[in-house]
Amino acid sequence: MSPPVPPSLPVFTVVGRVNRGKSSIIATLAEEDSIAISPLPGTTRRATHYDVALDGQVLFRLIDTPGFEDAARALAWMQRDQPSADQRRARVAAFRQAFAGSGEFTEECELLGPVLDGAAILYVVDGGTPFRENIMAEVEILRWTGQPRMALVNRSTDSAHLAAWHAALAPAFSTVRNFDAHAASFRERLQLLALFRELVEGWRAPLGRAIERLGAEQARRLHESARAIAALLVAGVTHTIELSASPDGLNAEEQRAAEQRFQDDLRQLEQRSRRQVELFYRHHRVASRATPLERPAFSRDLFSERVWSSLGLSAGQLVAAYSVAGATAGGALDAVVGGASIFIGTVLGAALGGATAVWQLGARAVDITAVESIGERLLRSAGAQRRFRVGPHQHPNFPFVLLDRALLHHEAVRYRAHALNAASELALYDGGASRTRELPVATRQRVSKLVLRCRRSPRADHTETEAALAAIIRELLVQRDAALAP
Amino acid sequence: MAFALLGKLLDIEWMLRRDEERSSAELSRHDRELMGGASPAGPEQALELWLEARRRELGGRTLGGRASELLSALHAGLVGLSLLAGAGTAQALLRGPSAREPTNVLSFIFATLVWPLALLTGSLLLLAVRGRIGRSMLLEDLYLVGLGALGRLSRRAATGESSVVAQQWRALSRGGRRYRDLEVATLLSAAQWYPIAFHLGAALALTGGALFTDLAFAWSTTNDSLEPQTLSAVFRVAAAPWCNSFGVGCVGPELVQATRFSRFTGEYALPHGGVVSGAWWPALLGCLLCYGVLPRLLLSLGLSALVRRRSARLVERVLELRARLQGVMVRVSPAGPDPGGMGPPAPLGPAPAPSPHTLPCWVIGWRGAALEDAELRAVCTRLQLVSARRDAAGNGDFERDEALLRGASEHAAVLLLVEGWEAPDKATRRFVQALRRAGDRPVFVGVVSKSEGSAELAIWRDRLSLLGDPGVRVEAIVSHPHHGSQEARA
Repeated sequence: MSPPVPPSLPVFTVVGRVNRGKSSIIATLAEEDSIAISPLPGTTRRATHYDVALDGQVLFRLIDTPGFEDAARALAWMQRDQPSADQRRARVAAFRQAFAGSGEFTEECELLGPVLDGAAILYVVDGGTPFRENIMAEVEILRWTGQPRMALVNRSTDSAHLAAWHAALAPAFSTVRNFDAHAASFRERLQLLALFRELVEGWRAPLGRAIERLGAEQARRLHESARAIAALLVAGVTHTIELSASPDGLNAEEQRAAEQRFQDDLRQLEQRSRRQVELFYRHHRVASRATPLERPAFSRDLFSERVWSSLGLSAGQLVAAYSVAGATAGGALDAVVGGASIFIGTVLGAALGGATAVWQLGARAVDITAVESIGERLLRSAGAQRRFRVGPHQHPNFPFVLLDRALLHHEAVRYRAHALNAASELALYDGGASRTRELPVATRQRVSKLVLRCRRSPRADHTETEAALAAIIRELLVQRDAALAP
Repeated sequence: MAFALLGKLLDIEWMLRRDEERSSAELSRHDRELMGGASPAGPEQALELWLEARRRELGGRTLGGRASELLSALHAGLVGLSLLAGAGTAQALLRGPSAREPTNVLSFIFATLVWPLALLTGSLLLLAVRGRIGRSMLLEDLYLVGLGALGRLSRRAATGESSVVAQQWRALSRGGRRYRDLEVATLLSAAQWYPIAFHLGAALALTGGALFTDLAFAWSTTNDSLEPQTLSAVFRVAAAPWCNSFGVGCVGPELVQATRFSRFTGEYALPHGGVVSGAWWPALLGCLLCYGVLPRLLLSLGLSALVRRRSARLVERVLELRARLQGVMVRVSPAGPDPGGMGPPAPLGPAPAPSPHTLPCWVIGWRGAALEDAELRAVCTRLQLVSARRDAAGNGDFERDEALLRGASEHAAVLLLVEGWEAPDKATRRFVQALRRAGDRPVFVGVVSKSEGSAELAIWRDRLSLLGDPGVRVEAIVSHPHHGSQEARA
């Protein structure tokens, strides 16, 4: 029996011993976090296919399979009568025919099905454990199928056993590649796809297209995330709530409740934006189970002391930013009078901006102001209810804290392997340092200026401002992407 | 009894939670005393014996026992009420709007049969659409709402002594979901007895009314399109089961033709209609029994069988439960120097002198697992074994392993060394079973890992418990990397 002609759609069957991370590899490659991944052996019981598709077009297919449970005995069965080299594939097929549905060798029959149907083989071993000779029974069975095959050494980070694995697998596989499903970046995934192209000649073109389209998709996700973060910033700094109170105004308890409600609203805005970003990257099940104190800064409460001390701009940066903004405004006045003011406007503007920043740093974060028309003021004496507005958030650092948290969260999501979603919560990708403190002064100024514009008129249409912020954020994300590239 | 199982589940959870607060050694002593040397054949029997002994210890007044009694009493009351409701409904329908008018068989059939059957069909359809038992939309939701309501009530009542009860309830309800399918199926099975009782009540009222009063039957409708031929055909089909089998309760076209009644004229369609109308009641009785009682009875029996089947292997149902009961099973199983292998791992260094009760042991290194001599001696001493022969297996050569089993030594025990990170796959479990079949001797599976209490050990215990063989014991062996378990040394 000769190997079947490979289908035009690239299909890869991921096989290996139980509990070696086959499902994790599929989850990461297919960006599919609904796959059941468990430390218990035998979680995968049936061969299940996962299509990697974009805009409804399937780029390639991965098939998750149950692990080998008794390969040595299966091989012993196949080796009976010592079939010649040209009969081995037929022997594997006969094995499957003999035992399929019999209740014996259930897992072996299940995993050999797609292989015999023409799928290429991705054989997964656990690089974190030492090589053992018994694994060679599985390798031999796969060799007998005659299908193109590649070995992936999973959990390969910092492992002392890699050399032994490579030496043992190299003779039986066209390529042996380290691939840590829990730590693989998007680039590593694309590099692996590039290797897949070499397995089957006919799949070179479709996999090449897949690599191109996945790259474009990743760029699109970055673009969309920048827009979502910009929308969050605008919504965050313009958010207000209105409430009614007795003619005597709000007492202390009511004020606290109003502030609490306002802060809860902002938390919800942030949460919604994060969910959006997670969905752009197909993270449907990102968990957050750790206690608040153990969480990374972006995952702690938005208004916690630790978040505000570690994220956003430093006090000096804030004063500088406001001073420059004030100086710019004053400078405009100087320009209007043709310099006759001998730059008094610039100096005063800078002083005023700096003083505003210093005052606001220590001021209460949320303003509650009465909003009443003349008619309402007149009616107040008649005992009618008064209206108050809470917000927008005036603290100069608030937009930067919000932006910092969004940037850190985006990094954690963008570089996260989907296999991790079942096992651990979202974690910092690369340290937890504030990103906004590292921004160039010019960028900080642009952000400050745009944010101030929104704050001044919370109810106005900020579409243009949002687009400008999105452009800045996109630039930041692209720079960060380049900096994190291996 | 249907609710005995629910009581048992409650008691298992309750007692295991009580166990959590006590040390393993204390529990072991306590259970041995309670069991009085009983030796269960398997894990399920071990569970039964353990539960019985613990209930005895508490004078039978356990939370589960009380809940079971309460539910049984409630059930009996509801069955009685249903019986009365069925009889009352039938009475009301049989007597009709006026004593001078005969009973309209169509109204009777609709109220006692068509409507209940539609309800049954609807429920079955819901089950079919929403999947297997335990995922029924209505029952599951109601069940969870009930659990939640009881939880809230218990919190509200949590003062003084009642706070203990409230705490227990909350602890139990947290574990309630693991038996959801059993609980829902039990409740569903028990619930079938209410319609059964309703139909039986109606049947009794019908029989009584027909035998001891002057009831007359007829059919009457303002729907002109309902022709006697149509009705006759419907009843011919409906009455076929008992008519064809026993020759009674048949509804012929003559009977239908003759017993058509008009309330406006107060007369039957044919003059002898009143005389022959008595032939309706056996048919109505047949309908009630065949279509009202029988399907519900079959459903109830089917669900009971399902519950019995699913509860037959309670020990293996949930990983957490299995892990906990593993300790219980081994505590009550016949012997063992260290209950459940829960004791401390083997210490390193020189082994103490062997005791006079040590068993000669065949040590097999599975898939390259091995221990240094000193480590092996320490493990053997802890298990009261002495190494008499050492072999290796599981290295990928099936024929060689078979040959090893064929030439199995006659040593009194086997110590199979496995590496913790290896998965306890079918090949391993099959090998352990083959070792047990090769001689009636205990097989100790020594799981070699780098740290004590690792998740690997729990997985090995869990998977080997699937064998249900008390002769197979899983032991923890901590081995430092520089000592043992190195590359394929065995």
